[in-house]
Amino acid sequence: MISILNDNNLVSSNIPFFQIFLLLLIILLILIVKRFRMSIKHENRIKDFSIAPDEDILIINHYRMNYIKFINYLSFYFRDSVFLNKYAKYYEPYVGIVNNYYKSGLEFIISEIVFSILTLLSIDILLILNGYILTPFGFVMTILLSYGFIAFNHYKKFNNYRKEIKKSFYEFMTILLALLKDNSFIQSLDLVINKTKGSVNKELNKMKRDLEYGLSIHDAFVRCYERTKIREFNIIAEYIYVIPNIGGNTSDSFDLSYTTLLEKSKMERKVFNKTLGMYMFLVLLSLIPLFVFLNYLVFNYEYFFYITSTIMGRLIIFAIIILYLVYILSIRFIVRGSVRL
Amino acid sequence: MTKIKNKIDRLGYHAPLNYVKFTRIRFLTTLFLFIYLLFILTKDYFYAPIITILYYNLFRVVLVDWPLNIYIARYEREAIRFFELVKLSLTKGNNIENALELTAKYFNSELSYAYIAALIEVKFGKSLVEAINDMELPSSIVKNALVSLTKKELKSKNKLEVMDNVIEVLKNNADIEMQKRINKVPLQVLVVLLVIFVPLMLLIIYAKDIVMIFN
Repeated sequence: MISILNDNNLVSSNIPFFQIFLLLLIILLILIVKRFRMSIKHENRIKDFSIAPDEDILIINHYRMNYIKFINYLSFYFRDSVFLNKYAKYYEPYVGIVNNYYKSGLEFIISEIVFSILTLLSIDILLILNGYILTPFGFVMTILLSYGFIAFNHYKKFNNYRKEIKKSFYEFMTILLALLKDNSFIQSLDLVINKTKGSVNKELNKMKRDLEYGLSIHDAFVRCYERTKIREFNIIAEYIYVIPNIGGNTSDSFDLSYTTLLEKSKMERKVFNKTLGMYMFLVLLSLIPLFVFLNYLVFNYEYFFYITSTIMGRLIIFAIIILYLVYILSIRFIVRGSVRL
Repeated sequence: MTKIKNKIDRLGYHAPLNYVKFTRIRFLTTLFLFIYLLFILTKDYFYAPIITILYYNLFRVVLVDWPLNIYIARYEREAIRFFELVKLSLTKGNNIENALELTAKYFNSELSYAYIAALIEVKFGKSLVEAINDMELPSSIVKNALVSLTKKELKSKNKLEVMDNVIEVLKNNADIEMQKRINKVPLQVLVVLLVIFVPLMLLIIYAKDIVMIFN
């Protein structure tokens, strides 16, 4: 009942037609690529005598730009969709950080959907060439897994960017505070940008651009928080707004925010150091199920053939995967729950 | 009913249910669960009382106790930042009442909302001390800190010392709560290991035997 591949007689009798059609498609694609390569060869002969771009002409770049143009066209076509625009807001911070190709959150969502459809098509083609076809359950599973894979990839890249900023946050804050005593905010920001590199440099350049366009320091920090979702920027923005209304200066706001954030980081480090031993032990313990699974695969792989042939066995495997994920998430929640101000 | 009412009032607008609805839903769901487990499952009569008692207590714990603990911890951490801002405005020349009013007006936190509600009562004729005593705050430490700040016997020179003491008390309390949380971690990890890890390993090892029993 729950199966990915279909072995129906009706479908298997028509598979040769699918296979012939796919072979013809593949031959067509090869001819198109060959024709394109001939045109590039001709272009390269004239290249030395014409105004050419700095990059060499590569086929993969051409297809990549065509793919991006296709996604731009689709995002223009779906620009009025309320459903997609609602979720595009969550992908706005990814622009410029995860990728330099996509300029809006909507394009990220559409690229993920297109990627999942392309994986589905490629898996379908490979299966048809071997004599199988996907059932509806397999159809849904491939779409979900491929969408999850690419979405997780994007999220991981963005999270690495955020972690880099968090690591070096207190370093550049100390330098900034030391420079604020003698310089204005933009001048001290310039001097800090020259000393930093990587993701911190990118983020501070964006802040500097906001200030050059005329925004206040409070708005610049708020926009920084909305882009990176790092709470330290929100706390600094709060203090910059509140303290002048209470009777203080901007230098008082920076000093007070720095002391509070230092205390927060001290508490976090205390918790981290005290729970580090237990966390390492639990991580090693979580590798034991994988070790057992690998043992079975290497020494007795027929174990899983017997289990997956029954419904009860598939339910047990599903329960094992769910329990494993719950275990990992619960340990992370208990031991590494964050300290928030 | 009064115990639950007090806890739900402390949650304020974060509470999931009114205390009357809470008790009614809890009673009805435990009753239906008990009847279902006794008569419809037609298994042993051993599990029904145990599961219903666990459900009855977990209903309160999950919906009221845990959110209340998280809320109190967040409230006390925000109160530290509130009082640090009040101390800053005192050093710039304001008196206590103006400092509290300005920070409550411009600093977004639960304590500032409660203080603004107390100031509205002051406009209608109450004195500030009365309004602060009538405030219903989730944590008693913050309330005692506010009461100590607005006493009439304080002179202008001692106010900064009182502020320092208040902030020190709140920070020590936060350290103690953090230590308690760290000490609870081994117990929670043990529960997770017993409830999740041991069944997981048993499933992996005895999967084939379970399938053979069911087939």
